[in-house]
Amino acid sequence: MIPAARRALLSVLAALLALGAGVAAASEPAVDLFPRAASGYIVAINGKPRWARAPDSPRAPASLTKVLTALVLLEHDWQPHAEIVVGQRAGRASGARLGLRTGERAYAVELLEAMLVASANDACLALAEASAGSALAFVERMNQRAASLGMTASHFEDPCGFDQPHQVTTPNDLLRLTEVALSHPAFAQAIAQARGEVHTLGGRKLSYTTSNLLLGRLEGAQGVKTGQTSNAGRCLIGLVTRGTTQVIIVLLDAPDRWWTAAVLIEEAFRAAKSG
Amino acid sequence: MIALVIRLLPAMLALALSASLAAAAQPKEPGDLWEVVNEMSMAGMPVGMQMPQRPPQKICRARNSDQPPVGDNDGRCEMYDVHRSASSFAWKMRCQGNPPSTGSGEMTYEGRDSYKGTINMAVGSQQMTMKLAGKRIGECDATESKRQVAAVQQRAAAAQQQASDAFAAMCKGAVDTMMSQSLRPDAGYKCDAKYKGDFCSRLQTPEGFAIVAPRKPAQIAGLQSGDLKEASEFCGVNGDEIRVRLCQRAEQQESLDFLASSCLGHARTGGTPSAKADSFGSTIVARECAGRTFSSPPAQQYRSFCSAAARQNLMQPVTADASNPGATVADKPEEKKDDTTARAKKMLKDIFNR
Repeated sequence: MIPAARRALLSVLAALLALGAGVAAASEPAVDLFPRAASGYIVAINGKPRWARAPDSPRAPASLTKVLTALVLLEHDWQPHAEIVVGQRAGRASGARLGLRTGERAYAVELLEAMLVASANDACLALAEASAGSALAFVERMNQRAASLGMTASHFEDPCGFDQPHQVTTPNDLLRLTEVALSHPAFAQAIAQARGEVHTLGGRKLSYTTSNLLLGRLEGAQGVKTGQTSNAGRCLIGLVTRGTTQVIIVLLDAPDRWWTAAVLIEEAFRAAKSG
Repeated sequence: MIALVIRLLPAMLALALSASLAAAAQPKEPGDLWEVVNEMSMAGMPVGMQMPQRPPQKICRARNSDQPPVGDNDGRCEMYDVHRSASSFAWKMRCQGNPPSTGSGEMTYEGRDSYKGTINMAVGSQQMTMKLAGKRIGECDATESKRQVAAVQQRAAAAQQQASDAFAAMCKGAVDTMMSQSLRPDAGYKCDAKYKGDFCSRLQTPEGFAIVAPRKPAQIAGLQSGDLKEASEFCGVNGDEIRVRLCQRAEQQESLDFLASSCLGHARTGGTPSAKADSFGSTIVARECAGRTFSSPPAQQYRSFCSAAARQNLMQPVTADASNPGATVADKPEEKKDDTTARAKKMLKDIFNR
């Protein structure tokens, strides 16, 4: 090729590169474009990881655990209108809770929604114990399912995400888990709700609102799960869909998770638009 | 441009052979039919590579022509310094174009029925040679030849104009998109100095600067990204000084979009700030963004700016104080609400590092 033509070609290439500056090609490994976003994070655009920090480093999952809890519940003889009796341990659950009392009964589907939308620990424990007989037995199912999903760096010891010494997961594992959970209509429907009610069979009405501040504030936000414990810090799995583009973000230990999520999501859609 | 010259040369040669047709038109003008063979070569062409060659051409030339061998063909190539002897022509030529080309040619007749010759052209930095050879193979009507030559001239002029328009559009596009690399002398096509002037003037404005400023340096050696460093060097100006001047004005006028795109994270004195408070936009960030929670966001007109500030903050390298964020809340999974006061303070601290 003659030099003039080669220079012209280089100029065109440079121009194309400049237009795509800061945007990794889809086939490239995810880069850490936002080092201060979180101790561990991953941003996936239409299923392809785009940016990440420590995506395979294990960290405490907090209530993001409940995504797996929901998946295991939905895949083990799920009966939405089964009457769930609130056990003693569930009735005493701490942290975010509906206010269920020991011995009260409620429908499984309403408890599942409260667990996912408001991160209600009493609803979570009641469902886990009712499904497997005990929280311990339920955790065993969770770990089996995690293994079958290829969540090789994850281990669970509590069905609702309370800190435990060896309870860990990774951004990559949570991304994989979320994608599978979203294939269940009951899960996808539940996480998109901003508020709801549990009606106990004894006649009490327990109202709750979502713990996900993105819902209703960020265009296309469809929820998924929040989490926060001492070990885990502030965590979030977020799902946002605009047109044909779907963005999933996983943040583990993100000091300003809502602002961070909003920035990362907007950047992701900008990147998706520019190709 | 080289391709254009290659296309033009046969036409020019045709003109050379038909130059006498410039004389008064006649219904029928006797001519000689020539078979012409041209071989082009280019200096520096790798061994084994050949220029594309045309098959022999048949060209009708007016008989007993005493005109110079080459006239002004399409207005783009001018023949000058023409010398004719009994058996030869020699001339010089210059062609408009991008880049312009210059050259010379000579033809020597071997008797009345054959000739040989050479045209040398310099197209930019490229040297091109065309060897000419022709032999008379019969008679023809030179009137028709004249008409054909006029048609060739017309097509060549149109092609030249098209190429010229395309180059102008590319140069204007480079200014519109602020791509300095496309305006450089080695860009492969030469833009008029006017475009460089337009580019450099625009670089001094918020509009032009905001296009260039966010660009990152090219990641591949030998390529250019059109970033501020390249643009500044191209214009022979100091990019940091332009940024300081434009950002100072943007702060005074609260031009939030420009501050967000071009000033955040840059020191008021130029270069990298030693503290966040030295950064452009930090006063507005402190006043309008810091301490705002996601559920009680900044005022509408500051939201994009505050998001840009947050983005800029997230992209900073992790320092010791930010390497282990969180781990300060109650040991309970999922509180009902964030502690907004503590969170606002933390956000303030994280954004402003103070």
